[in-house]
Amino acid sequence: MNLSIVKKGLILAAIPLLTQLVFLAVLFKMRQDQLQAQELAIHSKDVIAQTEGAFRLIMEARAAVRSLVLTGDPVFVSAWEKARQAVPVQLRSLRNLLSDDPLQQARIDQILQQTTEALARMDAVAQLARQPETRSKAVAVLSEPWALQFVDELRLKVDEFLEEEERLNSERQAQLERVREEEMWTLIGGAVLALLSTAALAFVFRRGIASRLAVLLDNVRHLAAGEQLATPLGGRDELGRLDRVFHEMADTLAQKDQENEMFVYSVSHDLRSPLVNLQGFSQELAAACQDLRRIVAEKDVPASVRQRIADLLDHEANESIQFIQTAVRRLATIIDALLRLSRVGRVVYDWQQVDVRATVERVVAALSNTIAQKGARISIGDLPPAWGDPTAIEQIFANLIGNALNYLDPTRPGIIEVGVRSEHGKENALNHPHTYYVKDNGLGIASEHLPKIFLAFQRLHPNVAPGEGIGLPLVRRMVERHGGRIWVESTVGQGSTFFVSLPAQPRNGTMANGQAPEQGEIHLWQRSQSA
Amino acid sequence: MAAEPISIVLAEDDDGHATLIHRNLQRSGVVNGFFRVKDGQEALDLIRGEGSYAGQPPRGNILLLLDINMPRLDGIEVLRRLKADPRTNAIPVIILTTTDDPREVERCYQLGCSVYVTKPVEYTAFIEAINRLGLFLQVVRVPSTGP
Repeated sequence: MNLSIVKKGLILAAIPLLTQLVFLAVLFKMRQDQLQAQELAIHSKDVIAQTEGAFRLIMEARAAVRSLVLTGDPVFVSAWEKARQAVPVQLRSLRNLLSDDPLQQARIDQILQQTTEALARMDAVAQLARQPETRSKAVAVLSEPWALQFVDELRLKVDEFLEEEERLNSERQAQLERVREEEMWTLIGGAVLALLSTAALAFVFRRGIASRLAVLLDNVRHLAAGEQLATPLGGRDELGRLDRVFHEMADTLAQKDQENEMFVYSVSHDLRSPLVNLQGFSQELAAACQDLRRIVAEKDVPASVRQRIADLLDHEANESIQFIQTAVRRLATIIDALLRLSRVGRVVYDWQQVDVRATVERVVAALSNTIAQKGARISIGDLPPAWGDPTAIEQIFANLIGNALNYLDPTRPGIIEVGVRSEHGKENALNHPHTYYVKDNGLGIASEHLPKIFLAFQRLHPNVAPGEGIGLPLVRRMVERHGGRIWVESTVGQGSTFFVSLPAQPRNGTMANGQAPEQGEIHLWQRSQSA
Repeated sequence: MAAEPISIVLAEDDDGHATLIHRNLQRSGVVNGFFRVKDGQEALDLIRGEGSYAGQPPRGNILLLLDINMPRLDGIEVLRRLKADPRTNAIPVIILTTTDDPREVERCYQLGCSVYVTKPVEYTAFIEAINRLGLFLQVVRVPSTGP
C-alpha cells in the first residue's frame, strides 16, 4: 500500500460513514414500505366500507319503494328520491377509489349497471304507487321475479367484489411481509459486512502504518545507540519519506564523523613536521652546548669566564632545553594518539567471519610475559565467531585484556575471564549480536569516573600504568564501526567487566560503510596536498 | 666506499628537516655529493636536466631521498613519474617522511621505492634512522633496480 497516510485516514473514516449511509437508506426504505402498507390497508378498508354503504343505500331505496307501494304514504316518496340519487354517487366515488385496479373497477361497473337498471324499474314502480288507482299495478310489478331476485344477485356480486378486495388486501400484506424480511436480512448482512470491513481495515492499518512506524522507531533507536540502521522502509507515503530523510540524516552524520576524523588526521599530521624540527634542533642545541662545555674546559680560558659559561650552560641553557624536550615529547604523544584515533575511523575493514576464540588465544599468547610477571590467571570461554575485521577485533581484545592486566589489584592474585554472555531465551539468537565480556578482579572503576572512561585523553590511574588515555576510546570506535556497543560494569575493590557486542552475521550496509572511508581519505589527501 | 660514488639528492620542502638530515648524514660518515631541492618539480628538473637545471646533463647516477608532503609536485607523483620513465626508473628512491600510515607505505612500495623511512619525532630514533640510511648508502655502489 503506497497511499499516503492522509488518504489512508480518509479511507478509514469513509468506510464507516458509507456503511452508516447505507443503513440509513435501508431504514428509510423500510419506513416508506410501512407507510405504504398502512395506506393500502386503510384504502382496502375504505373500499369495503363504501361498498357496504352503497349496498345499504340500495337496500334503503328498495325498502322506501316497498313502503311506498304498501302504504302510499308520500313520506316515502322523498326517502326514495334521496336514496335513488345517493346510490349512483356512492358507487361512482367507489369506482374512483379503484382507479388503480381495472378488474375491480369492471366489477363495480357491472354492479353500477345492474343497480341503475333496477333503480329505473323501481322508479317506474314508485311512479305507479303515487296514484292510488295504479297502486295495485305497482304491487303486481313488485311481485315480479326480477324484483325478488335482484337484491340476491346484487348481494352475490357485492360479495364477489368484497372477496376479491379482501384477497388483494391479504396479498399486499404478504408482499409487505416479504419485503420486510428482505430488508431485515439486508440489515444483518450490512452489519456483518461492516464488522468484517472494520477488521480488514484494522489489519491493513497495522500492516501499512503501525508496523512501518515500529521500523522507523527502531531506526531512531539504532541511531541513538550509534548502531547500523535497518534497511530503508521503501514506499511513497509519509512514513517512507520520513525514513528516507532519516537515513540521509544518519548518512550525513556518519559523513561528518568521517570528515572530523579526516580533519584530526590532517591537522595532527601537519603538526608532526614542525615537531621534528623542534625536537631535532633542541638536540642539536644540546649537542652544541656539550661542544661549548668541552671548549671552555680547555686551559687557555680564564677561570671566571669558564665559571660563568659553565653556570649558563648548566642552568639556563640546560633547563630550557629540558623544558623544550619535555614539551615536545608530550606534544608528540598527543599527536600520535590523535593520529591513532583518526586511523581507527579511516582504515578500511576487511569484513569476514572471525574466529574470536583463536584471536583471544593469540592475544593472550602475545601477552604471556606480562601475564607471568603479574602472576595473573586468564581463562578463555567458548567464544563464538563474530562478523568483522580480524585486525580490529584482535586490537579490541588486546586492549581490554591489556587494561585488565594493567589495573589488577597487586594485593591479590589476578583472575581475568574472557567469555560470552549466554543468549538463550532470546528469539532469533542467530541474528543477535554476540556479547563478549572481559572480566577482572582488579582495582575497579569508581562510579563517578565511569562516564569518562570511553572519552579520549582521560586517564584514571596515571600512576598505575603508562599510556595516553586513548585505549578505550580506540576500542569504542572499533566496536562502533562494527555496529556494536561497549559498556562496563564495575565495583571499586572488586573488579570490572567490559562488555562488547559484535555482529554474529553480516548485515546489509556494513560493507558499504566499510568502503566509504577510503574514498574520503584519498579526497583529503589531495586536499592537504593543495593546501 | 663506492667505486663509482653516487650523489645524494634530497627533495624536502622543510628547511629544518633538510638541515637535520644533511648534518646527520655527514655525522654518520656519508661523504657523497649532496644536493637539496625544495619540491617535487625541482627534483624532476634536476634529475632530467630540465627547467631551472636546463643545460646541465641529466644525473642518472644518484640516490633520491624523497619527502611526500611537498608543494607543486608531491613525492608520490615524483616517484610515479621516475618509475614510469625508462631513463630514470633505475634510480633508487628512499621515501623519508612523517607519514607512517601503513597504507601510504604500501602505496610507495607498490610504486617502486627502495626503502621507506619514517621521520620519527623522537630524535634518537631519527638519528638512528639516518645512521642506518648512511650505512645503506655506503653499501650502494651502482644504481640498483627497484624491487
